[in-house]
Amino acid sequence: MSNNAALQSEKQEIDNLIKKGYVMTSSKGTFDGDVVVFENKMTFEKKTLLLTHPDSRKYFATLYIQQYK
Amino acid sequence: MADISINFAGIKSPNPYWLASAPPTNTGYQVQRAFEAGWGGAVWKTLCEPVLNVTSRFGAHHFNGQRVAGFNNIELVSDRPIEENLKEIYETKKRFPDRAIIASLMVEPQRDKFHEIVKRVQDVGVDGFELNLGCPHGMSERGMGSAVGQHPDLVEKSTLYAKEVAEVPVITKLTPNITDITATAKAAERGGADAVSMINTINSLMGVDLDTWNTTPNVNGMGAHGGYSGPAVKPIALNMIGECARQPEFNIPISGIGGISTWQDTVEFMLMGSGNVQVCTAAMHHGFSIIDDLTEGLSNYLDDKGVASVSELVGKSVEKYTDWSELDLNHRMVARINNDICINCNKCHIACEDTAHQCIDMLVDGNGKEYLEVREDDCVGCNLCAIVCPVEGAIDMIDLEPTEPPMSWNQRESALQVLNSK
Repeated sequence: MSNNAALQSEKQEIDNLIKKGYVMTSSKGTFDGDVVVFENKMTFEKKTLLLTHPDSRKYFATLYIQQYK
Repeated sequence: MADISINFAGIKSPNPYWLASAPPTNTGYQVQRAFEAGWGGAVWKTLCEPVLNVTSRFGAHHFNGQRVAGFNNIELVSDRPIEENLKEIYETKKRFPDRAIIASLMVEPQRDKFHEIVKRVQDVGVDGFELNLGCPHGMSERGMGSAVGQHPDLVEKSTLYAKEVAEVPVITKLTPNITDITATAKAAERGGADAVSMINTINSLMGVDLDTWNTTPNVNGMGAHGGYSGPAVKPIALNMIGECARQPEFNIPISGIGGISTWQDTVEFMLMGSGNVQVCTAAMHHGFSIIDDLTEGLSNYLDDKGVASVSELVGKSVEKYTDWSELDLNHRMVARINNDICINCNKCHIACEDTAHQCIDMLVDGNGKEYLEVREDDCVGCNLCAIVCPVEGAIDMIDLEPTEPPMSWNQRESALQVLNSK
C-alpha cells in the first residue's frame, strides 16, 4: 500500500465512525502511532483506532478541534 | 531616491554599512581608506592591553569552486599601543566627521578596568563603544572575550561598568558560542546597553592538511581553534538575530554581523531585526570597494520596493518567525516538475528516492521519451528536489489549496488535552 493509500484508508475509518454517530473520547500517543478511542453516542459502544499515518494523526485532531469548537 | 542613512541607537551614519572590528579596522590608514571608499562607519579593531600575535593567522574554507565560503582567524585584538590608536581615531574622526567611529573595547570584567579604558577612549571623540565579549580564541583563555560573553551575569556587569562612565552609546557584542544567545542579549539590556551586536565568530578548526597532518592554520606545526566567519555563518547569525528580535522583553537595537557579503544579505539582516550591519570577511576577500555594490544595490532595491528609508526595513520579517510548534501542520505544499525545462538529469529522482520520500516517478511517454513526475499525493513538500535541481525553474514548489483549517502543534496538544480530560 502506498503512503497515500494508507492515509486514505485511515481517514476513511475515522470518517465512517463519525458518520455512524461516534465521537472521540480519548487519544494517546504511542510509539506505534496515535490510539484514538471513539464512543457511539446512542449505543455507548466503543471502537479503537490505531492511526499510524502522520497525516491521519493530524486529521483526527483537526476534526476534534472543529468538533469541540 | 531612498534614504539609506541610519540612526543606530543614537549613532548616525550615511549608510548602514560599518566595518566590523577586525583586521580591516586596525589602523587609521585603513579606516580612512574605507571611508574614502564610502563606508558609513567603522568599529575600530579592539583596544586592549596590546597583545602579541602569531603567524600564520587566517584559514579559509573553499567549497566547490567558491573561494572563502568560510573564513577562520586566530588573530587577536590590537597589538598596537592604545595611544597610537587613539591618535589615529582622533585624526580619522576629524577628517570624516559624518562617519561613525565606534571603539571596540576588551578588558577583564572589572569595574576599574572598564572605567579606565572607557574614559580614556571617549576623550578622543568616538561615537560609541562596542564591548567585545565575543572573541572565541586566545583572549578567552585569559578570561576575556567569549569567556565573559558566555556568562549572562558577566555580560550584564561588563555592560553596567561601561555604562557607568560612557557618555556615548554602548553596544555589547555577543558571542554565538553559547546555547541561547537571547540569555546574554537580555543580560546586556539589563546592564543598560544601548544596543547589542551579533554575532562574533564561531569556534572552529578550518581543516587538516592531508600530507603533513597539521591543522590549518597552524603555527610552526601546531594549531588552535579560531573564529569562523564569512558567508557560511550567515544562517546562524540570521537565526540568532531573529531569536533575539522576536523576544517581547528584548527592546534594544541589534547591529547585525555574520557573513554579510551582498546588499541582499543586508536586506535580510535588516528584515530580521538588524538596525544596521557590520561587514568584515567580504571586505577582506574583495577590498573596501565592495561598498559601491552594497550601497547601490540597497538603494535600488528600496526604490524598486517603494520604500522611502532603509530604516523601514528593520524587523519587518520578525513577526513571520516563530517557534516550530506554532507552524501550521495542515499546510500542504508539493513539488511540480516543469518537463519543458527539466533536462532529465534525474538528480531530483535520486535525491527523493534515496534520501527523502520516494515520490518522483521516472516515466516514459507515448513517444518513448523519458520524463519525471511527482506523485503529489505522496509528496511531503520537503523542497529537497528543488534544492538539488541544477536548472532554475525546472521544479516549482506549489502551495495547495487548504483542505483543513490551520492547526499548529500547540493547538493540537491543547485540543487533545481537552479531549483526554473529559
